Amino acid sequence: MICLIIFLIPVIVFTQADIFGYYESEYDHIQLTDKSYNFGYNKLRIDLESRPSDQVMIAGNINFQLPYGKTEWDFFDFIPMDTVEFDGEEITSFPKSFINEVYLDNIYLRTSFSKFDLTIGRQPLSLGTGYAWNPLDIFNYKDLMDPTYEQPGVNALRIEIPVATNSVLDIILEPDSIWNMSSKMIQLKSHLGSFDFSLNGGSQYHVIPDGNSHYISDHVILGGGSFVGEFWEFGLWGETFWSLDADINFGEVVFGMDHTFNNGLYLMTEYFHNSLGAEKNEVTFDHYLYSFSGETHSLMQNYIFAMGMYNITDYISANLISIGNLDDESFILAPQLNWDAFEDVTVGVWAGQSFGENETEFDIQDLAIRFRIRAYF
Amino acid sequence: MKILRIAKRLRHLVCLLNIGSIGLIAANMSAKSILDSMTMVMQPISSQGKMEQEIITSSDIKRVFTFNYFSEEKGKNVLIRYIEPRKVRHNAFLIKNNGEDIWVYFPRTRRVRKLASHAKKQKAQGSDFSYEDFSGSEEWKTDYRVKQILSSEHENYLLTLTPKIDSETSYDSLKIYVNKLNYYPSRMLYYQDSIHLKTLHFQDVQDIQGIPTAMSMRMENHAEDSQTTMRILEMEYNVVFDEGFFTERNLKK
Repeated sequence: MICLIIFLIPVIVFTQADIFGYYESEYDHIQLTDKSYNFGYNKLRIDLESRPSDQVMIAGNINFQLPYGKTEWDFFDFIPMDTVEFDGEEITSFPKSFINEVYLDNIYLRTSFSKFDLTIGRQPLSLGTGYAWNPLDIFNYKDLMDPTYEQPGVNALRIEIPVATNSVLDIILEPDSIWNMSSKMIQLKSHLGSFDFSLNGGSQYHVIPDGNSHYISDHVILGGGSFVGEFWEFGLWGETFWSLDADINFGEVVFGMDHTFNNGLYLMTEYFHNSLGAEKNEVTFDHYLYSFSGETHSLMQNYIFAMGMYNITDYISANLISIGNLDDESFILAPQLNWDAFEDVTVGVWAGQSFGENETEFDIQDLAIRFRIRAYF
Repeated sequence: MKILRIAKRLRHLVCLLNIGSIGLIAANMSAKSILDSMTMVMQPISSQGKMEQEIITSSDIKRVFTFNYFSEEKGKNVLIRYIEPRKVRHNAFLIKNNGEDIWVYFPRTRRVRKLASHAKKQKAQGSDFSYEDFSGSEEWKTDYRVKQILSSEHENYLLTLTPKIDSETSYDSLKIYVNKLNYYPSRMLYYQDSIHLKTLHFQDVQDIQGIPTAMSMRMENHAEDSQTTMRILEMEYNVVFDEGFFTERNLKK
């Protein structure tokens, strides 16, 4: 990585690339049932962007992330199990370490031809109309407490072809070691009245239910779509992506609505169903493992996300977020204060209090507090 | 005889009413033509420029945004691309159909999100301008009834705009002072729930390509005691945009 940076510096200087980015520091405190931890990170993201001509853009970013506080985690702290059988062995811990990292998150080239745009390289991809969940986004996994945080780059080839008026055909390929394991997505996006909609098809090497409350991975063909628009002053959106194979029927669906009152109060809610999630009282270690790794988009099947936001002053907004698991009836209430302290500095203080019966998804965590400052340059 | 007198009086009354009606129609016609002239002058067919937006809040905090502005079809379609501050650099808005359709682009996630049209009433980047304030003024002619009333200012006409029945508007009424010489507005007063909410002042009117242009527009928000000044740094009119310029594809470029 150091060699890469040494190589990049003269390139940046000679190409007169635009340099910008941010510094971010985060402190977290988490209170579990019988223990508490402090942790956080300092992060520097340097974005580089060069436009050698009107048709070509080369962009990338280098990230330096230094975790502090607790950096060795045990997965068992976050699941209501002491011992499980994993790969034929009884295990009582499942450690994960966070270390200092320097990484190129994105590095891609976007070029515009008269008939299409081509983006190649490790690039940000963001699909779907949902806020907290995106069934169509087979390339990413969102953090429910912070759904708008930037996603890691995806190594992909993307071709966007305008077709007819106001329609775009979008083809994305994320290559893997063999063609069958590569993720593919084709999307036709268009407008109808005040609604935008998309029709999607894709294939992916995806986890599928094995019929015994466990998962296996197999090649799956998926179909779905999305819409976003307005009906009677309410914003409405939805999206779904479902397996087209009758034998392995699974998929996800999300519906959301929002409204902004004249006084600026913004209310939003979203319902999510994931048939790959566990049913009530049938949660296994596999469900936790695949949910935490992001391979399934939720632990159980039915969730609700609600948010209210109000600008207390011109530069301080108060949010109240609620995330509920409708299957085990546990939920989190998360008040947040976000302050645009200066033109290029934002400060956020967030808290999260969990509610629910013992051994439910959100009951594991009791209280969480997060402080984040970000300064752009 | 009495019946005859009543008939004469009625005829006289009818004549008066007719004259009044004709006068009223004439005033309305005049008001419409003033509004037509004003929208024609202040909303060129297409434009592109660079603007600076200075927001001063009620607590006297100052923020400055710089953005590129592109518009076509007399402001029906508008594209705004932020340059400064760094926090919103490359954020972009596509506002089409006079604010009915708004898309916002976030470059860090390369995500385009469609906003519901109720968002058009909200403050754009915390300023005292709403998203729809960036759009054209053509809908004033379709959504509002316009009347000319007596202006206390010799150099200005005064128009009042009230919403037509069944039209969906953000304001209860508008008062517009229009310069008699060049038909450029001097100021606009916005009313909501019968409260004088905002006043937009057009200042430093200069001639660019034969089109009078307010180089500075100051929006005072009386309810929040804040103000936003929009200054034109560069402006060019009658721009021919490529087909597909005001599309989601171009928003992401």
